[in-house]
Parts: sequence; structure tokens; C-alpha cells
Amino acid sequence: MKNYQLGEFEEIVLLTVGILNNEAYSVAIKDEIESRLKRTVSMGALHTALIRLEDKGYLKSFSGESTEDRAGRPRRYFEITALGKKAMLYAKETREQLWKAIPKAVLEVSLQKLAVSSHQ
Amino acid sequence: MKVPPKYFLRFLRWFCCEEYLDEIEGDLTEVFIKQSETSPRKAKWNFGWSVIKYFRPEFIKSFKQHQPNRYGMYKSYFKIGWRSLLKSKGYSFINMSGLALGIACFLFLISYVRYERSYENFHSNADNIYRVTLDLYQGEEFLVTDCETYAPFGPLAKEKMPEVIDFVRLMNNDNTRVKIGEQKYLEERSYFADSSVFTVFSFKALHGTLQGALSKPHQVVITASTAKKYFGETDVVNQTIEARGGLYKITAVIEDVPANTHLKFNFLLSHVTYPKIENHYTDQSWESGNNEYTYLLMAPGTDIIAFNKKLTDLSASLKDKINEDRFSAEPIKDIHLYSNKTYEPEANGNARTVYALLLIAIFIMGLAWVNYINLSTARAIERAREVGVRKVMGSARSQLVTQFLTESIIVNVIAALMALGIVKIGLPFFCELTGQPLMDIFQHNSFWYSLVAILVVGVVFSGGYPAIVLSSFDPVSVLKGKFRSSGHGQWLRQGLVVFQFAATTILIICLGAVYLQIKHLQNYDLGMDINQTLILRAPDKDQADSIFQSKYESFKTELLRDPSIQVVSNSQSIPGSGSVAGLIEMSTTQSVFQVGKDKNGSSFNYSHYPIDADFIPAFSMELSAGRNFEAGMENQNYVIINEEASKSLGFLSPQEAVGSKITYRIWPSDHSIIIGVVKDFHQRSPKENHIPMIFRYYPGLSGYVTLKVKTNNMEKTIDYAKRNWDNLFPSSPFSYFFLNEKYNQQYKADAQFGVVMATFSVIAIVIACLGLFGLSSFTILQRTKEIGIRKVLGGSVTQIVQLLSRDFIKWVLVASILAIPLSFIIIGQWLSTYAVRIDLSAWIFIVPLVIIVLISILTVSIQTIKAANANPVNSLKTE
Repeated sequence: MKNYQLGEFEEIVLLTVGILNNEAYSVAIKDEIESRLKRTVSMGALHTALIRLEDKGYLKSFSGESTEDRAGRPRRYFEITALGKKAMLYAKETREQLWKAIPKAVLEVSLQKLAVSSHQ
Repeated sequence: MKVPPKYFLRFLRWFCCEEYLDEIEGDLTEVFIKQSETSPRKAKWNFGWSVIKYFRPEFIKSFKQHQPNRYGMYKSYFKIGWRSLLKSKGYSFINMSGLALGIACFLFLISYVRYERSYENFHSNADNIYRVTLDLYQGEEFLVTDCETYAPFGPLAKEKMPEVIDFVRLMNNDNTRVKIGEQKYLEERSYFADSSVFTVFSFKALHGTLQGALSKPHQVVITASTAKKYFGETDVVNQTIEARGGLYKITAVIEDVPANTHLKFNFLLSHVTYPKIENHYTDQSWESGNNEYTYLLMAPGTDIIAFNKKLTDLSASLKDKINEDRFSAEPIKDIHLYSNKTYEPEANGNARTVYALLLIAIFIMGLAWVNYINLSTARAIERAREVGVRKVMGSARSQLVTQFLTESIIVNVIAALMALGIVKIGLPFFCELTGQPLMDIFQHNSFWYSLVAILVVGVVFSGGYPAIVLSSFDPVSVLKGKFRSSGHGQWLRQGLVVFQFAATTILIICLGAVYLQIKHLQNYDLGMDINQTLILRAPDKDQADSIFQSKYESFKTELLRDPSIQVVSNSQSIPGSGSVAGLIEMSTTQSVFQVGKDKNGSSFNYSHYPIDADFIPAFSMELSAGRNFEAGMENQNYVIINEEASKSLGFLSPQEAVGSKITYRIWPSDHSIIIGVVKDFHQRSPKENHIPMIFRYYPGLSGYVTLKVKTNNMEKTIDYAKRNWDNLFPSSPFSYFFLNEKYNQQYKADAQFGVVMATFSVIAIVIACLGLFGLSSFTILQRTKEIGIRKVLGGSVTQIVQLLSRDFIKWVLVASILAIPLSFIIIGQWLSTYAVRIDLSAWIFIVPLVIIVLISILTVSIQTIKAANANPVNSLKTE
């Protein structure tokens, strides 16, 4: 079985690219993550993740049109490759397997506790 | 629209690798613009912060060179450089030979200057040794500085002043006769020296020890070559020589004194001997006159200005002994170039001359570099296409600069090698020219340093400008064929040609002036006749005065029997400056005044001149008033003065002076009656002003015997004199010289300077003309087609030659005219050091101007006439 390396932030980026479909470029990805997950994303971190994902072969990019907002610089659009999709699926499946392996009681208790503590 | 902060953007562009730059910049700009709609300040802040966060390894561009081995490129630079030199052999030759000549001249002159500045350096204490001289004052008025000072000064200074570590006194002992067995020698240079001479100065012993070598009477230390001359070997310790005042035991033999010291000698006698052989002299007395060269070894770091102030105070405290005289100290390293006082041990060099030659060296080097710059930029059009193609093929500007600099390196290095050859071959001639001892200048580090410096400066300066100009061409316009040599470059080239010819013209004008001035001095009416004047050194006084005197009388009678000998005179001194011509100096007294007048009224440095009755006729001097001494009469109280003395004594006319009485401060009871006033003559060279002189009658044989001769067969006369001499004075060597030769030695330095200048001026002209030749031939090459068309349309050869030459000649003319005021100033400065000088006539300026214009016309016309005569068909048919 192949080992798919995927970090947490990398996974989020990969998923967001998938959400944005054909409109995935850096600023859009950033905005999307920020709005959905309510967390700030620094451009530098995002870039690093994108470059890594591309290096790993999960993403591919192409140059888009240049616009005035970007002072004439072209956008770089990202697309998930076949390998990327496999990696996403692999990540999802491994997680689900792990989820399933957790005894129900553990989850319930801790969830109740969580609920109690949050209500206090 | 909002613009992101400029500096952060520039920083980002600087560090970020190109692969990501576009995207990052785009992203940040987009975010910035979006954000700045709501809060511009925060947007700016964020932008900057983001940029800084991008500054990390993944995004920083690699500063490593992409081409790990650049050897190939360097090889190519040299290959292309070499080929482009070979392609135009003519220009390369002009460039290199000009540079080689320039570098060679520069190296010669640098070596010359180095030698002149190296005086006294061999003394390990050189920086802390000072010579104390005596400034003679008349009241507050400074008269003259005497290099010799009083004998008690040295010990006093050591005792009174803590900064004085030691002192040494040297007393001049010129023209001493030395006897070794039966052999007799006349030694011009020797001193009576304190034993501290070997601790203050650094002389090296070959045999014997220098410790206390001169501490006892009748000891002598001789130099190696003197020992060889006397004994045939150098190990002669404990041998004796007979010199002034008896036998001296050799206690040590030292290495020969180097040529680069002002204090040269063949041997040193112990100073303690002197009071024993000369009764009138004691070390302790201030009355014995100032005859001691005194050197002080000072504590390192002594402030010379403060020390001189202390010396002035010391002089004031000794007022009862030395009157107004003041002591002053000068570093011994400055003596050779800066000291020009009375009674110098030898004729010193002149800092002005040295720096003038240095200036000429720099001029010549500049001329050669200008040639290189001119020729390289003139050829710009030829190289422009190459530059264009290289740029299109991706050559960076820095690579092009390296390419052209490499060419300049090749040219300079080859020129330097040629220059080394020239130096090697030309060194003996150069040393003869400057009168310096022949030496191996290659072994001095400074020689190689200056060579390297010249190379570096040459490459950077002369190679740098063309490299920058050539590499700046815009490839598009060059390759389209629109390129023309820029007007700017033209101005520079013309400016440089003007500089070259202005410099050359200045050199020629100065050369002419120097030549005329020296000629003028040699032909100057000296107020006396020194031609056909034979001088004999008076014989040793080895018998009682009366016998000796009668011998001289019979010698004189015998000589006068020969019809060719007209006058025979005896005098203590003869015309000619002592320090230059190696003659005995006259003793001087200050404070001579008319009897009954104010003591301080008129007091100058008067020279005493003991003569006999035949002296004035022997030199054909004229009396402006009064009469000459009469032989055989009582002349004891009579003196003759010269016109200068008559003036300084306060007489209104020579006639008034005759019959007046004068007296002396140091001999107040001595009243002399002036019986005659002799017209001023130049005792020393006409460079100097007349000095006041007092002639006394002194029949005792001394100094020199002057023979005024009129003959076509000088050999015979000398032979006759020698025969009689040997008969009458068998124990004294017969030594003679011609006065005019000795006298002219005073101009030797000037004449030498003239010859050196002439040589380098010629070289400068050659270099300038080489450049003009190259430049004109190149310009004409560019205009070949134009010439062809002009000829086809009916232009005559003369018209074309005129057209082509006009441009160059115009600038040469401008240069020459610019040169005139400059050289006027320079010559004026130089001439102001002479008491007798030429008038600056217009010809001094016009003749060089005409010469330079003619030479340049000749240079240019070689090219233009050839071009104008060429068949237009040849130039027009090729396209």
C-alpha cells in the first residue's frame, strides 16, 4: 500500500482547492479557508503548502489571465491531480477506519463531559 | 488606485526567486488592494509584514553562480583580446610602444626620485638625527644660514637639554695631503670627528672595532677603498698614515660611505687631535669660530618645532658670546633635498628639480594613457557591431566590460614587459644623464610596486573608460546600422588631444627656457676673465716661511720667462663656489663698519679675500676707483673692497669709499684704509647675488697659484710649469685644473636637468605624435568614401589634405595657445631662483609653438596626403 504524506494544513488546502473547483488560486483559497474555518491564513504559509503539494504531485497549476487588481500579474490556478484525489481519499478512509475503531462509550462520555463543561 | 509600499516591493523583488515572484507579488498586491479599501494603514502594514514573512529559504533566490567553472569564459576573453590586437597590428603597435615608452620613463624617473629621497636612510637613527646650523642675524634681520656651528655647542646641548642623547662634531679638513711611505696623495674629503660619530651614525666596520676608535689623539678610521688605494689591501689596522699634523694610527677600516649621503669622506681623524696640532683652537672656546658640523642624536619623538624654540632661547642666553646668531636644527634626511645653505659639505640636490621630474614622469604616463583611450574609443564604430551581437546572444554588460578590460590588460602587460626591456638597456644612459651612480634598480621593492601600480592604474583608467563606453551600446540601434560615434566621445577625444599637446608644448617651452638660461649663464659677463686660466694648488709649506717665500718668488720668475704665461698670482681663494667645485671657501666676518659710524649701522657677511698684487690683473678685473696693491710695498693696513661691500658699508659711490677707514667688531683696534674698489665680479655662480668682499694683501704663499696663459699649446705650458714645480717643490704633488671648467661645474646640476628634460620632452613628443598619427589615420579610414566622392566631384588633392588636416591642426593650435600662459608661470617661477636671468622674449613661446604645429602637420599629412592621392575608384567600388 502506498504511503500518502499529507499534513493537516495541506489537507485543508487540498480540500479547499477541490471546493473551489476551477476557481482555485491563492487569494481565493485563503479567503475560502478563512470564511469556512474561521481561522487566519498567512499568504506565506499557504504558498509553502501549495508548493509542497505541487512538488508531491497532488496539485498542478496553470497560469491564468492577468488582472488589474494584481498589478498585471497573472493568477496561478490549481487543480487536483489523480494522485491528489487518491491521497485525499486515502486520508479520509484512514480516518474513518480510525473513527470506527474507537469504542462508542469513550466518545459518549467525553462528549457528555464536554457538553457539561461547556454549559457550566 | 492604491499602490503597495515601494520599499517592501523592491525588497521582495530583490530576494525572491523568479519562479515565484510573479505570483507572490500578484497575491500580495491583490490582498493589499482589497484590504486598503477598508483600512489603508492596516493594508500597508500587512503587506510589509507578509513580505518579511516571505523572507525564508524556500522563496529566497539562489545567489550561487549558475556556471560553476568560468575558466572557459576567461580563456575566451584572452583569445578574443589577442585576436583583436592582431587584427589591427598598426594600432596595437602604436598603443603598446607608446605605453612602453611611457612606463619606462616613469620607472626611470621613479627610481631617480627614490634615490634622491633615499639620502641618509642607511643610518639606523636617521629619523632622530638633526644637524644644528647657525642663522646669522643683523639685529632682527636674517642674513644667511651657516651649516657649521661653534665647537662648544655640542657638549652644551647634551648637558642642558634632556632630549639630546648624544652629539657629534665634524670639522672640515679639505684638501689634506697624505703621505704613506714615499707615496703622496691629495685628499679632498676628510673630517676631524668625535668618537661618537660611530654611535650616532651607522658606519660598518670591516676591520678593527669602532668602539672608541677615535677617542685618542692621532687616530684615524679609513674607508675600504681608501685603504686599498694606500696599501693595496683593506686589513690595515694599526698601520699609520701621515696626514695633517703628523702620524695617525689606523684603528678601524669601515665600508665605503654610500653615495647617498651628504657627508662623504675618505677618512676620519680623531677630533681630539685638532687642538693639539692647531694652537689657537680649543674645544671650549666660542672664540675659535664656527667651523664644526654638529649633529645631534635626539630622543625619538622629539618635537622639532619646540626644540628649535628652545634653541632660539639658548642662543639668546649666549648673547655675549655669539651675538645675534641663532642655532636651528634640521632633520638630516631633509639636508640633501631642502638645504641650500652656506658651507654645505657638498652641493645638495634640489627638491624642486626632483618633483619637476616626477611631474614630467606623470605627464608622460598620462600622454601614453590618453593614446590608449583615444585609439580605443575611436575604434568604437568597428567594435560596435561585435558588442551588439554579443549582447543579443545574451552577454551581460559586466562580461563585455571584462572582455575589454582583458584587452587592456594584455596591452598593458606587453607594454610593461617592453618597458622592462627598455629600462634594462637604457639604465646606464639614464644614470649618466642624471649623474647618479649606476645601480641595480630592479632589486628595489619600490620599483616593482610602482610597476604594479602603473599597471593597475593603467588598466583601470585607460582600459576602464573605453570598456564602459563600448559596453554601453544599445544593441538595437547598433545592429540596425543607425549607430554613429557619439558626439560626447568626440569631445572627450578632442579634449584629450588638446591635453596631450598642451603638455608637450609646455615641456618644449620650458626646455627652451632652461637651455637659454644655462647658455646665458655660461656666456654671462662675470666681471672677470676665467678663460685660459690655469690654477695650481699651492705647495705644502714644508720649510721656513722666508725660504718658502723666496722659492715661490723664483718659481714665479721662472714661469714668467715663458712668453705664454702672462701673469702669475697667488691667493687664498679663487672664483667658484666652494661647495660645488670643491674649492677652499673664504672665511667670513659679520660686522664690518666705517670707523666712527654706528656699530650696527651696516653689517653683512663679508668675505675675506687674501690676495697678492697680481690677483686683479690675473683675472682682468677692473677697478672702479682707487688703485691696486703694489708688490713689495707696505700694504698691511690697506684693503680693497668690491662695489657690493662699498654699498653695504654705506658709501654713496666707490670714489667716496677710497681713502675711508673701516674696522671690525672682533678686531676693534684694527683700522683698514680702503685704497681701491673693484668692480663686482661673480665670485660664485651668477645664480647668486654679489657678495660683499674685502681683499687684503697677503704675500705669504697659500691656497692657489693662478697662471693667466695665452697660448695655443697648453700642453707645453703645463709641462713647463710642472718642470719648474718639480725642481722647486719636489715634496708637493703638482695638481692643476682649468678655472673655467671648475667654475662651470656650478651649472652642472642645471645642465644635467636640461639634458634630462630634453630627453623626456623628446619622448613626450614622440608619444603624442604616435597618438595623433593613430587617431588621424583612423579618422581618415572612416572617411575614405567621403574622400572618394569629393575627388569624383572634382575636389583637388590640396583641398582634401586641407580639409582632413584642419580638424587636427585646429586642436593642436588651441593646445599650444593654452600652453603659453601655463608655461609662462612655470618658467617665471623657475627663473626667479636666479640672480641673473634671461628676458622672456616672445620667441621662447613662439618657436616651440611653431615646432609643435609643424610636427603635428607632418604627422597628420603623412596620412592625409596618402588618402587624398588614393584612386577614388578603389574606395568607391567596394560596398
